[in-house]
Amino acid sequence: MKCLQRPSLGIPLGESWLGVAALCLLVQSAAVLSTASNLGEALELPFDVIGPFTGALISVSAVVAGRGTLPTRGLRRWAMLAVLVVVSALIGAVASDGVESALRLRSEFGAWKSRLASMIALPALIAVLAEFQQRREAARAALHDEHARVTALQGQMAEAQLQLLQAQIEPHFLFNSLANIRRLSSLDSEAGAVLLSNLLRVLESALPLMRGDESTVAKETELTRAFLAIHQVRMGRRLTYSLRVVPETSDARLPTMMLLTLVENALKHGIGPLPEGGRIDVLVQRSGDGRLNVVVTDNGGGLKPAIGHGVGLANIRARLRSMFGDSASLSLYLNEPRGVMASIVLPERHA
Amino acid sequence: MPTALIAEDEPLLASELRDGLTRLWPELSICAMASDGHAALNEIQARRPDILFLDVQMPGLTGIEVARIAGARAHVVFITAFDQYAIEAFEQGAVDYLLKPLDAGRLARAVHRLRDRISQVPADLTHLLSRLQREPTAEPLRWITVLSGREVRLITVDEICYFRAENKYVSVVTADNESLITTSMSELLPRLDRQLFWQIHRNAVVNINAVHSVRRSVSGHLELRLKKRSELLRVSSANAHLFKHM
Repeated sequence: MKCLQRPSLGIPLGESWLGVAALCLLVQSAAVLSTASNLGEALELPFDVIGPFTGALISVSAVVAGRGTLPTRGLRRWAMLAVLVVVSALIGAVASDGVESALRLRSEFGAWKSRLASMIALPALIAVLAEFQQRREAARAALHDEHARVTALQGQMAEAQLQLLQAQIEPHFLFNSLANIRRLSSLDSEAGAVLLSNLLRVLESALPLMRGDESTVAKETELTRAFLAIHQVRMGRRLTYSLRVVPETSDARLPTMMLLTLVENALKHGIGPLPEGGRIDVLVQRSGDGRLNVVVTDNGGGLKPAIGHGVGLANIRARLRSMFGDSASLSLYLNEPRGVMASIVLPERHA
Repeated sequence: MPTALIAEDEPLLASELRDGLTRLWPELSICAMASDGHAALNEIQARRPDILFLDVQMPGLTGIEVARIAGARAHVVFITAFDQYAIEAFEQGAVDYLLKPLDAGRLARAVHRLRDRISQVPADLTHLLSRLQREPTAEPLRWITVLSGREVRLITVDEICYFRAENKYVSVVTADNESLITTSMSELLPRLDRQLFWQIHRNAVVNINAVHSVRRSVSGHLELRLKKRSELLRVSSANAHLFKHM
């Protein structure tokens, strides 16, 4: 399983303790230096700096460690952060005083106010910087997630497209159609020519480079009509069909090959297995709520509760989801008295 | 006079084969034409033809099934459009077959071979046919359909959280639903993508993408918490090794 990514502590300065230490040293040195009245005092600085340095380091550590325990967001986080800074500064001040008295650098336990003031600046600065850094990282992570989501979706889309193309030009369909064309040409050359032009229409539409992602109801219906006409010749009396398109929907946009896939399914799984054959009815209309509705009904063997690896239906669903989200759907129903009704509903948009 | 049956569901192609045979082998009597597998079986029973021309893909029963049931007493020639899998099997089994679209030269060769062999005992196809019967199952399962009222719900594998065996059947569990399918766990298992679906217990197969975390229960078993289901799934000790590296 994937390893969980550890959340960053959000420490600025490249998350380097050395950097934090250097900053502490610099700031506290400056503070001490500014209080030195002459060169003699300034020369004692290396010793003077040890106390404030230790204190600053401890106060910053306290802030960094304490941040992890705060609530993740909101006003409460800022309030707690302020308290944390003050407490850290206090700890730092006490520590710095402790170090100095231990080293006997300074005997007087005085100047608490100035000591606290000089101690509070650094943890406060670190805390605020860390907050901003964390916010920025969160934003970047969100952007990254969004990007990953879009990429995944595009990947699914490409895969669906590929499966679609592989699924449509079945060699079996192609060779069987060619066999029929040859036979028909010798019996009735005109009918043979019609069959050939229908096959060409289907092939043109199914070949990869000629297809975009979207077409129109009119074009997809024509393609389906050609496809059904080929099967009509092949199956003879076993197949009857009808196509009905409500006129105002004919220039509506329709994703490619979806109607054809539903018809192909009805042929393959509904009518095909039945020796006596059956009928397929295609209807493109406007649904009650003004969306585009594509319905393919057959009176074939029906869709028994089954398990399968066919790509057609799963593919349509994946494409609808990636193109329209929740505003499109594919549903299957049992037809009366038998067979299956497949229905796609999607937003109606005109070219 | 030798007799033959043509079983082909596409009328144009059936008549083309009949005409070709009549032309190439005038003595052959086409005693029956059938357009589906069951009709073919009936005709074979009634007329006992010497030669069977069987389309592989037919409604009712496939040509392979017809040959398996009734092919022992006749010479079988399969007819198929492009079908890599079947063609390879035919080649290996040295079985006669015709490709669609029918080629005059090939048909003549097939007729020649049949004329030579018609007096011999038909080849035993049992082995080949049982192999062909087992369809290639390399394709993993992609979806399951279940009935809910009059609606047929299509469940794609990515929606499935886990499968649970229920006596002879299997319950398909998704984020918000459970449906029973009339397939046993042992039938289902070989059809699943094993990278994705892990058997964690004798009666449970989990979609690994649906797993939130693994933890050890107070009693020492491994338990899976799911992303979209509240129940915990127990991992049997025999399958605990699956999660060893986590």
